[in-house]
Amino acid sequence: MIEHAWLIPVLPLLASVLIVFLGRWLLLDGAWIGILCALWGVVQSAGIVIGLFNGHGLLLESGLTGHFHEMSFPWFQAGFLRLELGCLIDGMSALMMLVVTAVSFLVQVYSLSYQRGKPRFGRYYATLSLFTFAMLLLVISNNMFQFFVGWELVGVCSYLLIGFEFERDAAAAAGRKAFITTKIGDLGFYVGLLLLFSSVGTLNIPIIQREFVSTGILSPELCCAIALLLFCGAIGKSAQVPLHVWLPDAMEGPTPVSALIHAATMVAAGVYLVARLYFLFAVSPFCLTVVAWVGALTALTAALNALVASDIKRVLAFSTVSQLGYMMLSLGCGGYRAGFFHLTTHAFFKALLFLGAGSVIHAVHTNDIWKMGGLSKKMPVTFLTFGAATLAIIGFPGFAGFFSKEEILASVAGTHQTALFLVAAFTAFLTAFYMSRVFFVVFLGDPRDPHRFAEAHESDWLMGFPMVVLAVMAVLSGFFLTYVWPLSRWIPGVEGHLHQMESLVLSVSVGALALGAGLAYSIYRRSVPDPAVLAVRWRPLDQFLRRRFADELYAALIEKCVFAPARHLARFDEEWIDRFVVDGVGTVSRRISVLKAWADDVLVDRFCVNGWGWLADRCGRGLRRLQTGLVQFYLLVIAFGLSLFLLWAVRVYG
Amino acid sequence: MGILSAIVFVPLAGALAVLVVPEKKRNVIQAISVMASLVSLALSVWLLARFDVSVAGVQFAEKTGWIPLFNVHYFLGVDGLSILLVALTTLLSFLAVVASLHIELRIREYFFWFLLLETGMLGVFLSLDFFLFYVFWEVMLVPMYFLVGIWGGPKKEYAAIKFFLYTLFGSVFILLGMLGLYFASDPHTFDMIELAGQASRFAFGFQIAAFLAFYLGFAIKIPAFPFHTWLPLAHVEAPTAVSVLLAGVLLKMGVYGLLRISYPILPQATRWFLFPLLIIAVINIVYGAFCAMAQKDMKRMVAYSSINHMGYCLLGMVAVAGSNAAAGLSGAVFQMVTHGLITGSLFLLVGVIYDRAHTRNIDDFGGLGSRLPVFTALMTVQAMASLGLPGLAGFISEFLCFLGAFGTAAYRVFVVVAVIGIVVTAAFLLKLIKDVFLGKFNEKWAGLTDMNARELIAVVPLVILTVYLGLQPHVALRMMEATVSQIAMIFKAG
Repeated sequence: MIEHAWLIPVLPLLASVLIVFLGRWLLLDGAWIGILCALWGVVQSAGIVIGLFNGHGLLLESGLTGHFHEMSFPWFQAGFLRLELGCLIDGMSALMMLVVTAVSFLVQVYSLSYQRGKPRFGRYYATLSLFTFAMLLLVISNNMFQFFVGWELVGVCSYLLIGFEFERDAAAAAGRKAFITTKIGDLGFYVGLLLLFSSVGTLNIPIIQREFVSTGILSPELCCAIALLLFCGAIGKSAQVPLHVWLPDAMEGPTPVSALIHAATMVAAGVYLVARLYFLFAVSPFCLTVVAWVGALTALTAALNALVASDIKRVLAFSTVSQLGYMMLSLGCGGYRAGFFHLTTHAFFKALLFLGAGSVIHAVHTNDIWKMGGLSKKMPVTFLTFGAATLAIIGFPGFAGFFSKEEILASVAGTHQTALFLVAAFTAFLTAFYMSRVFFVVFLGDPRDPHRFAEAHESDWLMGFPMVVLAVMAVLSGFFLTYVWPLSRWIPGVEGHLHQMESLVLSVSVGALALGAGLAYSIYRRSVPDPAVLAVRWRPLDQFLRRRFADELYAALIEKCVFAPARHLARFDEEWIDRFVVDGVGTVSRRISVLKAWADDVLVDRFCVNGWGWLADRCGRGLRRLQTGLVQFYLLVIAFGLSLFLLWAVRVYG
Repeated sequence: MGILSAIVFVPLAGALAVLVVPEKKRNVIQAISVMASLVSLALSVWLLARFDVSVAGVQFAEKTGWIPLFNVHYFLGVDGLSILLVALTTLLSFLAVVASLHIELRIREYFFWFLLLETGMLGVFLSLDFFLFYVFWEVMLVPMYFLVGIWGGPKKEYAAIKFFLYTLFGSVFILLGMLGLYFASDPHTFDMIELAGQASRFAFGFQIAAFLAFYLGFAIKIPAFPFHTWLPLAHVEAPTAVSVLLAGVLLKMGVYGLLRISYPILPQATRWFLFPLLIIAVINIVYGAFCAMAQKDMKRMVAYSSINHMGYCLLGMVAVAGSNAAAGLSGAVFQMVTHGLITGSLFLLVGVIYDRAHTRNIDDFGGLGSRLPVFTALMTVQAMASLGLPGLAGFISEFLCFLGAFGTAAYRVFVVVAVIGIVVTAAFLLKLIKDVFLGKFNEKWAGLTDMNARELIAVVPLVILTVYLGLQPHVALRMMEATVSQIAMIFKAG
């Protein structure tokens, strides 16, 4: 099973190609091929995970990434650059593959109903499969080159999917924004890759770890530089400050796509990158501190933005940014396993939240939470599953998020950096508040828009089934990965200090939860306030929270630093280089040639050449007068000449 | 007659045959042109199959005396540098002929000049005698002048004369450099291989003078900043098929000339010039990308993107003295090929829309994606290839160029600056896609039809090759490996 792990990414690729070329002749445009391939991936990666847990099929080699199984095929060679396509299977990549294929499978099933009757159904499924392939390609990769290939493909697939309904300008713009923003981060990744290869001559992850990092051949400074450059890529992909601006707009894509992007693919890639190369980051404390603070800032600012958003998907999008920041914070604090743990549990409940939101939007045809309300009566399945996901994300004891969030808080507490811990705790409080707010406003209370409420209906089983499955995961996965199959058994990490903090961490996390949810309950549950009134009462705060400073800054910067220089350079090129210099040289040489032609014509030809002719002519005309034909005149001239001659001879010889 | 002569002169034979056919027999003229370019293509495919990748030196050489008094030879040969460019030239020529089949105006002359141009281009890549090289170099100019000047756009005469004079200006310096080498060598020779063998004989000062003379000639062709401004103009005015050859083949001659002549024959001067070349490469990359960003005319935008992409070639060539020399040089040669495929197809695609809409202004379109799915898909794939998406050919060559230049520690800062070009390239290509294909459909274009068979035949092979070489780059890389390592050796030893 593990020997054929390469099948897991290859099958979705195959599905994508088949759907593109044969889809139009197949049932459902070939959507079932994508679904089956993803299902196969779920089964096989589940098999690998079980096998790993039971200790079968492993080549035992110890390293920071634990025990792993590696296989590779040569891809191509240029000079001494040998590139390979390979698989690296360890606890982390196996679990990640399971998450990716599972979420992808469920999203595809859900989309059968959600996207039914919409244009370009086949293309939608082809892109979803390609997206899944790209993510799996990087998850399974044993080398950084393949990782980068998957990384970029993930980017382009999200571009295609976010802008899927490209007839709407907002969708087209959001897709482009996502691509360019993440591409800016990727420049760092690119340079990091160049530096890495130039320093060690290979891009194979286990070799880099074993032979260069753990032996100290690669100096800590260089490790730190490479790690931070690669981290730039993660900042873009995982929507960290300052490149977080694309993710809230990415909700322009179809809702199931958002579920996929926000849970298992795309944004997960950045966190996965840091986790995968943790040995590189861990060399330098400075590097980890940068990661931690970027994560902390992201977690906090995005949570603040989420407080006032009224678009249900936008709240969830801000919440994703915030949770990703949480994971980065944890990674930066040495909580390498905790971060990855949260990535896993978050994938389930965030996918569920988006699918639930999709179900609601499908029913009431609006994204605005203030036009919803009381939907629990109409949509029991959505209500219950969304409720489970909400409990999970706010870290209600026993639900998935509780376990992973607690581990994160413990690892942050372990660094004894009070500021970071306060940010983490405060973010937990904010999360509890804004998620409860959405939940109360959408599902409880009285319907605010009776007309929409009357039309609302529960979604069909194709949409219900994935939600139920994910709800089970959102409830159980945390417990499961802590007690039944403890992650610590297959993902080694730093142990020890976690347990001493347990009581502090527990009280903080439960306290934040109670405070946040209670506050939301008191504001939004009973009185169901008018949002406009609230906004007026809290005007400065409200406006502060609504503003997206980074977006405003970038809009100005892009105009100033990209479009304006582009226009100026293009004008410079056209007017100065081309028209002034090049055409100038042409014009000057033409002028010179005109001058030369004039000189040739006037001085040489007319003056010199014709001048002689004219002179001869004039002389001839003058002399002609002498030609009188009178012999007496001739004799007179002769006599005159002779006398002159004689006069001269007498003067000389006389 | 050898295979190389056949490849070079079959198009010429076609050109002469076209001349004797009456203008009215369009089909015959078209058939002859298609056949001539197809035979040349088939022969180069055969050559590709028979090419021995393990040999660094010249293969399939043909050498006979031509002007014994001056030791001039008719000397053709192919090696790892030229083999792919020959294949690229015959392929693009054939596809460009197919794409020209709808031309009505004076088609006899058109195909005559076109096939003559093909002979000229192939001759440049295959000549190993400098004199012969120069003859082909000049032969190429005349057809180009007429093709732009007669079948071009509104400002065709201006563009044609500008192209002609600019290039001629450059070739005067090549001629000077060539004569300089001839008289400096002992015995006097025009044989490039022998000249390279005598490289150590040339004094440093002389090398620099000769290098600068050649550089001036080649830089105009590349085109390297600041000698690039003829290019956007020529592209905008040239008919589609000519743009394809201009971008796909003619631009490669500058880089090819540097690698074939300047590098091996003048290694000391090359080493001295690497740093200026690096700066020029970075300017080409960043400046070209920014200029492209501001363009409204699709052809102008793609033309500026060529300036940007040829900058990557120069960047790869700068690597020659560093630790990643082989990667950089392979990248430069491979970049020539991938740029030919990608930009060639982009010009064909722009031609497709221009033939229908009679405008190339980006702002005039919008939402075409919902009406022209095939056209949109092909254009998107090639734009993605152009911006360096992994899985497509452009990515590998670009990466190798960057990796090569990164091998010299002192160059790293400049490479990082050049990397900015990548994101600007992505930005303007996505802008192009967004403005033309996405958004609300502009009802003005309700009558537009998707691509027809002739257009698909011209474009699809290039798209397939772009994908194929993106997945299997070693197919191309192994062709050049031996030769490229040999060039790198010259600089390692010195």
